[in-house]
Amino acid sequence: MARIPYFDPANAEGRAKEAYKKLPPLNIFRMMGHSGDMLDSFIKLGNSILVYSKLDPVLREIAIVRVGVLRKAKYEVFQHERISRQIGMSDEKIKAIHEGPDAKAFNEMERLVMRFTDDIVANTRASDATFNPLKEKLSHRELQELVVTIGYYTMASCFLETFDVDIEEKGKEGKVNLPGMKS
Amino acid sequence: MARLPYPDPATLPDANRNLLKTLPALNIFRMLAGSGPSFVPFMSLINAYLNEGVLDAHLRELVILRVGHLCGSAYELHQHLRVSRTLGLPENRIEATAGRLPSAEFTGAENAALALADDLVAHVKADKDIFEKARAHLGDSGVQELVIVVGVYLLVCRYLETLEIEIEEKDIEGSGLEEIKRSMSANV
Repeated sequence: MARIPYFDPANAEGRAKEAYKKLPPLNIFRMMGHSGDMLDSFIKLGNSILVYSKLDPVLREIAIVRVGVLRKAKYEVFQHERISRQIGMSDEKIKAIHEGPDAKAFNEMERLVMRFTDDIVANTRASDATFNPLKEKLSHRELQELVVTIGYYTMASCFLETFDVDIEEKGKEGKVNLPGMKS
Repeated sequence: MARLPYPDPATLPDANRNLLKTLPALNIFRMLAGSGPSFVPFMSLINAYLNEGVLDAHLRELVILRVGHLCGSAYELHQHLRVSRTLGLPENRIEATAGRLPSAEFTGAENAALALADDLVAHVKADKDIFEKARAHLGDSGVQELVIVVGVYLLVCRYLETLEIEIEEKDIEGSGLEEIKRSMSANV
């Protein structure tokens, strides 16, 4: 159970009030209402990562779920495995994110993203061994997006776990719409 | 040298180029302007707690310095040492952020906030007692802001270190917070 009461979006003011009009009724957003306008900035950064990135969505979701797995953020893993399935990732590949970079289900590019994510989460600075191969394969913008994505979900995992945000009951999780979703 | 070239402003989307023009001349912003549509909301998030937050500014800067030490980010520390000094934090309090906690240099609220920062960096999920102690000092809004601030600098340190952003040859004047505030109200 959450460590502090959820915020009632009906009491939101300013930019947070506008933000709630567009948000799905997810517990992470209800919890963050105590932060006022900061909610709006947090959501917009998340939105730019999920909706406007050039980075391939499968690579993006692999990085996000991997951060959640490494940092034991159950809510993050739950939500982003759902998104992973909706953009068409196989159950085998989603399971492989829990296993590690060498799992058979990954192609070479996905493996590089797994190694890079592991390196940054553990060591802050990615080593040449994980950075250089990705630099050759991604545009500079995509590489920056990947680093920001890993960092953003590193932040989100602290928030979710420390406030013990609950996974929504079945049927109450609302609908998340992202580009490339098939279901 | 940074691991990626700093983007040429002429090649940036209008929103990023216009925002970059009015921000303090810092290498992190020059590079981040090349991150696509994340640049503007990222700056908006930073501005939200730097200029419109509920936390005491000294407490916030002590926490940011602590995260910089824990993550080993020279660039993050360099910038926030300047901010801390500009905001009037004395050297003995600044230095204590690199040492053992709790410290007699800090108030009860600061020690509670720094203990929470340490626990978040080490364990992701903060211990219940450490969390409740910080919450008792800072309230629900304050403790949420604190967790988000620690998280933002986990992101920032990963970005800075992985892209190997260099410290500027010439320091900017003042804290830079006012310029960020003006930039955000003019561009968003």
